[in-house]
Amino acid sequence: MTRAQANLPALAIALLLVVASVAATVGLAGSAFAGADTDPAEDRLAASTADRLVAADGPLSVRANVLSEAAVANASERLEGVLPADAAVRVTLDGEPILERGDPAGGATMRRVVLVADAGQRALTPTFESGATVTLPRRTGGATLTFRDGADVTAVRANDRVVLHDEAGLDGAYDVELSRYDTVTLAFATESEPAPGSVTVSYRAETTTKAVLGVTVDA
Amino acid sequence: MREGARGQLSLSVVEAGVGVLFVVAVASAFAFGTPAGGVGERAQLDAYAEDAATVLANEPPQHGDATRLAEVAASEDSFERERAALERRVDRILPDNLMFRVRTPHGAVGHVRPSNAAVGVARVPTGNGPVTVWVWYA
Repeated sequence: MTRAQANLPALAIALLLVVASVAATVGLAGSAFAGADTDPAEDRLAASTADRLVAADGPLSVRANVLSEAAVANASERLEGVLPADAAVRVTLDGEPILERGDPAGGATMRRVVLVADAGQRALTPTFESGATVTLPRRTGGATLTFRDGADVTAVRANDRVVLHDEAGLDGAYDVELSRYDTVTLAFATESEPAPGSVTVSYRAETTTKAVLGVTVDA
Repeated sequence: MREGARGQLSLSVVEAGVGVLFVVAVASAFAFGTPAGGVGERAQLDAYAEDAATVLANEPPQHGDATRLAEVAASEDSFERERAALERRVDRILPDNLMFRVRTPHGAVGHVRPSNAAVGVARVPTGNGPVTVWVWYA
């Protein structure tokens, strides 16, 4: 008799335990589902905007992952229409904000590694001390050759490819396209020795610095 | 016979204990299993690796070939010649909180990949085989 009676409170306690733990679990699951971000719009926007900015044809790009310093200085104008609409956005370069729209508090941040290129024009006037050739720095994509009066140059070859030719003598300024994948040597064909200072070669020289581009989107 | 003392641990309490264990197992999945917000760690690391590979693939070579990546992948000799410069360059390109490893067909530079951390990866094909870049948080 006594044994059977002891089972009744034990059963009650057992049911209480199971019901309590089930209730706690359902509560936990409910809050987990409520808190889960099943549509992470911010992440997608931050990742795709950053992707767009470092793409080769992006609004600030010179090449893939290389931004132009001039374009970065002018970012607010260049990035119009590129950034996601109706979301607060901040674009930073090495931590310095270059563009802020709205006030993104929190949100998702995507970081990308970029180079910032500063393009400047450089000129050199060859003295032709060792032959009628000039070697330009590697990766020079184009150059402007200016011939003074009486330079008497009839042809210019870039790595054995004729880029300029005039039997009567080249005169004035010419733009020549060069290969970015070769180190270009310009050879000047003249009747006699070319005079020092008779030709000026100006080319675009690029210096790059590394930076981290950060895109924060708070949708 | 005094067997009454042995039967005191009720079977229903034992059953309830087993039941609670099952329910708690399900609960723990909810407690740890929901994704956190923010850009995923893997997505960010993959982007870093991709960026480093793109920068190398577009950079002028130190000596020969078309690009820096083509140069290091070209031959054993050029890899040996360039390995220190390559390591320095990748180290400079990547943010300071990242470690990296670059594997070319002729050898690898960088640190040994960890087995217990998230690692981002990017592969770039070159004329002489693929170059792979791995990055992870230091």
